[in-house]
Amino acid sequence: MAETVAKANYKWRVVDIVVTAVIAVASGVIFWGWDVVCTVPLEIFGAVTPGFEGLLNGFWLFAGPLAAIVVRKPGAALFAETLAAFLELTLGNQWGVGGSLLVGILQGLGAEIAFAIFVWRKWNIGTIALSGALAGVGCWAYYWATHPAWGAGYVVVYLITSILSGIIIGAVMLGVQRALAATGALDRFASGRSEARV
Amino acid sequence: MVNGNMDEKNGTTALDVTGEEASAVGTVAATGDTVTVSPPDARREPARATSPSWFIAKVNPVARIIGALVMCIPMFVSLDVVSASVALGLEFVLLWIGGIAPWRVLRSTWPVWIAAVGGFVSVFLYGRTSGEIWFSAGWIVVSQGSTYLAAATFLRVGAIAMPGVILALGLDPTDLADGLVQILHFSPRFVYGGLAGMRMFTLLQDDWRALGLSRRSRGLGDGNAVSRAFSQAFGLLVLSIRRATKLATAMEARGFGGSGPRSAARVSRLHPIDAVFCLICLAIPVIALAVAVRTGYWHFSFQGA
Repeated sequence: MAETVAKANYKWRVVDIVVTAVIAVASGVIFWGWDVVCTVPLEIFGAVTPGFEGLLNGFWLFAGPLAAIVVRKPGAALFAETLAAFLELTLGNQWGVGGSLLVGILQGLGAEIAFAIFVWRKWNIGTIALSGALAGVGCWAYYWATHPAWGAGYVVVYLITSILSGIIIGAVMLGVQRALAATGALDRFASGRSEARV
Repeated sequence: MVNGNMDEKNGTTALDVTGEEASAVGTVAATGDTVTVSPPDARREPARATSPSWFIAKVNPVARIIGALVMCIPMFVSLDVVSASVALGLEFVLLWIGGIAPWRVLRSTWPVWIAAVGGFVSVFLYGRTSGEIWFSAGWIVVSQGSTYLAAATFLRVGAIAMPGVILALGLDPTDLADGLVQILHFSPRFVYGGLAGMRMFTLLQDDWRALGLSRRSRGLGDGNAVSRAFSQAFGLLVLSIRRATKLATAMEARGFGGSGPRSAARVSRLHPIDAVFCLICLAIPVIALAVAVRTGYWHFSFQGA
């Protein structure tokens, strides 16, 4: 399968860096848009249900997994998620340096670990779902640190819903990557060439 | 698939237009028509303030980010009303001295307070319970202890997020990139590659409008607004990736990413004011936590009720 790379090339080319950055910027705009849009649903979910607002976290978790499966380099997920969070921060939102940049780095680390476990050689639905899930864990860790007074039930529900949200968004990102490859935009990447068309 | 191809077309036409404009300017000059251009020293472009505060504007962006992290991270250890309100009070006073009045701070950080209310509600209803129980229904237990913790959470979310938002206002990515490379010695390939991506952000808005118009002219996009937004966002992503690959080629053609040494056109250096700023940033949580310990309100975040 093309999704499992036998001999991985870990060296970053300039095109890898720039495309990762662009994916991060596009994601950062969506993060920021979601910051604005989600405020009301987040409040309602937070008030009505214990911890189910974790389901809304997916929109902040996708930059790392998407960039990683597109460029397939070590560190892509961390780089993309951090840069996206930085853009979100400079656009201005409700969480400041801690809640944007710090949480972005935690999510990026989570997303990166999933691919690092497989030495950046497996790029299939399993690893990307794991990547989204671990990014969700990173997000949960930060919000638990800012809201340490949550009851145990709330903490557990929030963790589960964040992970679930990460898995779903990861699977969706695999679809996005396939669609991008089909347009030919990823011709310069291994991920875009893996689907041989005759 | 169809979208991608159309957007590709749109992308190339957009590039062609700029090319034609450039050549049009050339022909105008060649045929002898006068084009009035103001001399460079007559152009007045006031430098954009990098922060609403005169003090923060003088601080190196690297010190700004580090200071913001130094200010917020120690606050995570204690969850009590005293440390959070002392920190919040100090921040308001210092920002006032720095040139941002409290009402202006509140106006530019209003989303922080919505998030803080969210934190209050979630802890108030579902927080760790202790003391007298006032109300309970299913998962919801409102107690004396959870009300106190909710108030502390509200103040602490404000104390952590508010200065972070203010410090990020007007932060210039280019200055930060220079600082990351020259002061912290990050890899210039990654920093400037990332900056190149950030710079493309300004193009995204124009692209979005152009995509919308071109889709409309083909009779697309009169349906559901949500599905239109998604499909147009995908088109924008395709367009951006194509442009990024082109940009990468252009950057490499100019020697970016090579192995040779790199010199810096813009110098980024640390000054004494950066040290002063970082010390202030460290002093805020230290004073706040010390006051909490002295008054006996100190309460480790993850412990007890």
